[in-house]
Amino acid sequence: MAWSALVHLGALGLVMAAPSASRDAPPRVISVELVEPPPSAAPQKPAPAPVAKPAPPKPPPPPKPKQTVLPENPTQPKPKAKPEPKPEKPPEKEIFEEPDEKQEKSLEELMAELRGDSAEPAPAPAEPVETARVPSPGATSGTGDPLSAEERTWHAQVIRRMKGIWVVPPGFRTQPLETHVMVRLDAAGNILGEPQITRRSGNPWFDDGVIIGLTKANPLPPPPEAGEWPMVFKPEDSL
Amino acid sequence: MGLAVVATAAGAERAAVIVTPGGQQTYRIAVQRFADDSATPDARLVDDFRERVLAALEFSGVFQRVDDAAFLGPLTTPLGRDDSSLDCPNWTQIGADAVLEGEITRRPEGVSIAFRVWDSSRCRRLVRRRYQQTNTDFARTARRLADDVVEAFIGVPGVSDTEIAYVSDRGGNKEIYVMSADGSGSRAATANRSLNNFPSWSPQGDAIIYTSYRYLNRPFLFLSSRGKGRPGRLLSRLGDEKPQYRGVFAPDRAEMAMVMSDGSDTDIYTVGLDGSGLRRLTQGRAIDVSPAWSPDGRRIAFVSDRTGAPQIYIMNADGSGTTRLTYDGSYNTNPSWSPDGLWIAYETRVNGQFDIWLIDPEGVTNVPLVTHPRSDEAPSWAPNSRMIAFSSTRRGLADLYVIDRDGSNLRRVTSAAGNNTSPNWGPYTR
Repeated sequence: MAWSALVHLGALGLVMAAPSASRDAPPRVISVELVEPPPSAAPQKPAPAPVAKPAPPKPPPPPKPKQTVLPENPTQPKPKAKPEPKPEKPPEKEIFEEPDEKQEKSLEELMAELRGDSAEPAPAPAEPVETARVPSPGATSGTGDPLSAEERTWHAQVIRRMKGIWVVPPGFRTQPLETHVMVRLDAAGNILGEPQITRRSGNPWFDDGVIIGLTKANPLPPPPEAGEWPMVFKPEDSL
Repeated sequence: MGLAVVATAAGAERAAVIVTPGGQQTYRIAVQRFADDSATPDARLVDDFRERVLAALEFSGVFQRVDDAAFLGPLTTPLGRDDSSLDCPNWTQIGADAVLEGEITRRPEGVSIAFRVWDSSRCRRLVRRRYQQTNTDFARTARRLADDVVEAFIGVPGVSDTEIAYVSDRGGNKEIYVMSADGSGSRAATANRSLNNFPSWSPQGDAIIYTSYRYLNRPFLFLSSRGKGRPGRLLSRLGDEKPQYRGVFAPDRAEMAMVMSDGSDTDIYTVGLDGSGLRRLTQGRAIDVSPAWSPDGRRIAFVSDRTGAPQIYIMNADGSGTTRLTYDGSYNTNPSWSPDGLWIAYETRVNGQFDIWLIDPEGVTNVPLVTHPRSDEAPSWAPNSRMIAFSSTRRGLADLYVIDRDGSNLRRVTSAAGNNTSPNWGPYTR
């Protein structure tokens, strides 16, 4: 009983300890002095992240990281330099017996039972379902003006150049992001001023990546004529 | 592809250039040796720290290093430099998208490590931070620093400063081990020479529930702890009669979901860590196993063979509102809910082997993540929801791998002999 009560208290303490980081005065402290706010978030207030897919609900907030600093490893002091695991003392004062094969198998058998017996043939994998893309306000699709041959060529040149330069880290590639930009170009393709984001993706880091990419790509291939040219950046294969 | 036609300020209507990503996935980062502002400078420490930062940055999948030989700017951060500006052309010329610089100062009262990271294309300082520490665990600070640099560029921290618990039989018995997410620093959490399996981290990362046969040769749940929780057997007040197959911490309260057998029925329960408040969530003769909490703690995904073959279901945390999630495939198991709530990773049997797929909690989108001819099993999400750890037999014995959520950047993170299985990725502990 007393033991059980101890476990009770201990276990409760374990889970409720989070807010009381000060009581857990850790042997080592990493204090962080945030001198300035994270980068691009500041200048451009992010719109709420777009819902990733048609059906899934708004993502719940991720679990909040709690303030615990704990260098120790679960049952022994943290080794200084990654020693390979060394058997510790058998931790229990409890009854300790070697498990026999049969007992070990009971779990395996349970799983095997689960795994074993479906008579249905495994169907072919489903076709991946494309995410619905957010329609672009202010942009009409396919109305009127087809591209001139000159524009078509220039588009292809810009796309080729941007593909080689624009960095899209893993993770962004599976999100339904779309950033619309207006770029002012002179006749030689030099970008005049900073490209203007006309529609944010909802993820300021993705938007920043687009601007970084354009900055690195400057000058772009000479456009059909000097002036403003719209561009849309989006991951191709959103899940 | 439709054309997006946009009116420009000058009144012209122009079709937008539509750009999709090419093969560039990583920012190129130049990492300087940090200046050593200590009474007795230690070049080896500075170099070692830099290598650890670089390794953690590359592990993120977001950065690749710029080779030292290419540097036009200084290899070592100049001591006492004015950090309000940077000679950016020196770095953009060598193709560096980012520059990391900083100082290490060792004093008797503690160590201070300061850094700045720059977006060199636009010549902007993104983050400036300083860590203070009173011990000499620079490896952990290096990982923490790298994770912060990752956050500056993609908006979510890296996960090099997190840990993965897993099962290995490298010593002859299945024991629980813990390692850094990149595979370094592996160490044993159990050594009881019994059979141990299914580690599950506490939300604070200070304890692990696991299943062990070390008592009475039957499966019961135990706690391994480096926090306030008392290590040892859990739920002893429930007695020794009913085997407990697997326990999983709730994300937001002192409770767990667990699998327990009651004679012929194997069902999912919730229970306090002390054994109080036992509540049976599933009923009937079917086998109900593999509970996986939603990150908000309101729902539980699980596996049931109630239709004859194992499929994944979702129910409310009180056992109500059960719906079937998977319909494709005749054998689906081991669900793992992403911390951002958007995806459930699971394994599905194809031709006698297992692949890993992702499905959203509404069951609308279902896509393959890992489809190798050998078995890939037991997916577990990184706390930033961008990577998944899993075990695979592609090299023969089972090893642990991590892969990005979009299927890129596969990396093996175990190398020790034996089978390494059942990864469970721990939370941020910063």
